[in-house]
Amino acid sequence: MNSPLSPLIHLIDDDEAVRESLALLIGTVGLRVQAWANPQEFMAKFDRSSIGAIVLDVRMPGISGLTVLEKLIAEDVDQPVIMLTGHGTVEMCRRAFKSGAAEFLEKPVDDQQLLDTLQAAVQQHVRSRERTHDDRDARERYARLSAREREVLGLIVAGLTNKEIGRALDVSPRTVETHRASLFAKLGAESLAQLIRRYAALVEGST
Amino acid sequence: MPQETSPVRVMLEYKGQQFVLQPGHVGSGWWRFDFRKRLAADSQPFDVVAMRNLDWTDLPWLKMLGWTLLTAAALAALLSLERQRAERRRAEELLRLGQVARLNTLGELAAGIAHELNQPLTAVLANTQAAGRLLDDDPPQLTTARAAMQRAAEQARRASDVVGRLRRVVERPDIAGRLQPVSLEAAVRNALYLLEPELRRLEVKPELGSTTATILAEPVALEQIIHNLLSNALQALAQVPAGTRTLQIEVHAIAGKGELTVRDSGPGIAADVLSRLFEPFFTTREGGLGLGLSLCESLASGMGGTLVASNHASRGATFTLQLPLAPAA
Repeated sequence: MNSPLSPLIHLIDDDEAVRESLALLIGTVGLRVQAWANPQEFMAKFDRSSIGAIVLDVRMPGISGLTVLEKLIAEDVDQPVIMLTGHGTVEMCRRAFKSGAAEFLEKPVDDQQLLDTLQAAVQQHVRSRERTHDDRDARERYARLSAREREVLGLIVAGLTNKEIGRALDVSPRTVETHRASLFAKLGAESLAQLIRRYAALVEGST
Repeated sequence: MPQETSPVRVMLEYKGQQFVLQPGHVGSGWWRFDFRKRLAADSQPFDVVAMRNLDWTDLPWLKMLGWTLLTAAALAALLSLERQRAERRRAEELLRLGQVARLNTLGELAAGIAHELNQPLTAVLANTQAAGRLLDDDPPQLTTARAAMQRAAEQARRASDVVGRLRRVVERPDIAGRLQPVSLEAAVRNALYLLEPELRRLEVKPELGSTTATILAEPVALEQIIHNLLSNALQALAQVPAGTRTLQIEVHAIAGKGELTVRDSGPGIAADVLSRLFEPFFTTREGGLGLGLSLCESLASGMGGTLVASNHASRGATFTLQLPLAPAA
């Protein structure tokens, strides 16, 4: 995992007994838990950069868990949200999934089910964070290329040889060779296959 | 009409010449009617003319008045019928709304109970399961596990408090204090009136015996029981073909008790269902709460009566409600 700390689960439920018991249960598998009694306070203060998941009770005084879910999604919070409810109706379940809930569990929830769901959610979050990180890295590296290098890269991705690229750009194959070495270095690519896998989408997106 | 007294003059005309066939009393009225027709014979192209002068007194006043009155009466009757129908529709609508409102209240209540009970149950389950995991640890974390078990016990007590509170709300110990003499037969008629649209829709003609009994009951509770029994019977009848639907209702006074029997010709009650019929939350109906009959029975026993269900020998179910007779005034 990227973080030196173990994943953090945010648990939001207005009922103290429920909060404490679920926190204890989740803690037994080595996940850290931060429990919140007040959804507004949670929304204002929680660490959006942490790796983990959010467990949200549907029925809370003041603000519905579904509303909190919608606000989180609208804010582009990327932690998976698991909804908990005492009496789930089909309509409620439908709305939760439509709003972007990762999972919908009924209270009282069985330990194995809750813990499996949380582990899966955390793994999903780690993968998605890694993907976003890689994407950002690729975009930053691509931005460092010169206009000529981008042209060369486009032709490499299109499958042309150095000789063909030289003809297409009206330069000598040796010059192409120089551009090629430079862009490989800038993009941190170790092989042609890796270069194409990581940058093909960016090249196609920019033309 | 004899020629001498006829008010019509008949003439033949030809190029301004007139030949009177019947002079008639044409009268001096200001309103002249005449009729001309050329005879079709080419040789004698006469015009036949019939004429009459009308006066106010010649009009058929009595008949006209009669007709006007008749039309007005028919119109009034139609309007009043329409008004009655509108009132009836409104009453039905109100009744339906009342039922929907009651259902919503029940739904809210059920959601509330679910939440109130699920919270402590969630805590009990999570605490005990966490304790189990803590004991499985190596070394077992005894102190934390023990604390979790203690919290689970507290939450189990909390759940039982919720149930106790709920029971105190649902039980109505004061119902016995509000008993008053009620005509059982009148209560049945009232319930039948409310269910009339349903009866008509199912083509059921209820057969109500002529005997009556005055019992001691709380009117609203009694109405609720009867309404429930009749709607159940109708729902049973809806499951059998229209021609075979009968609903027999009888009211008797026997041995100090007023007795109401409601018998339908529906499919009857399955044996395994019969024994659990009055259990709360037991239902055979899709989306049913399973509270109707259980409520009826507790209302009946709250008023010092009984409610019993049985299957009829031939077919259909019979519900028998017994309540104490009112002391003779």
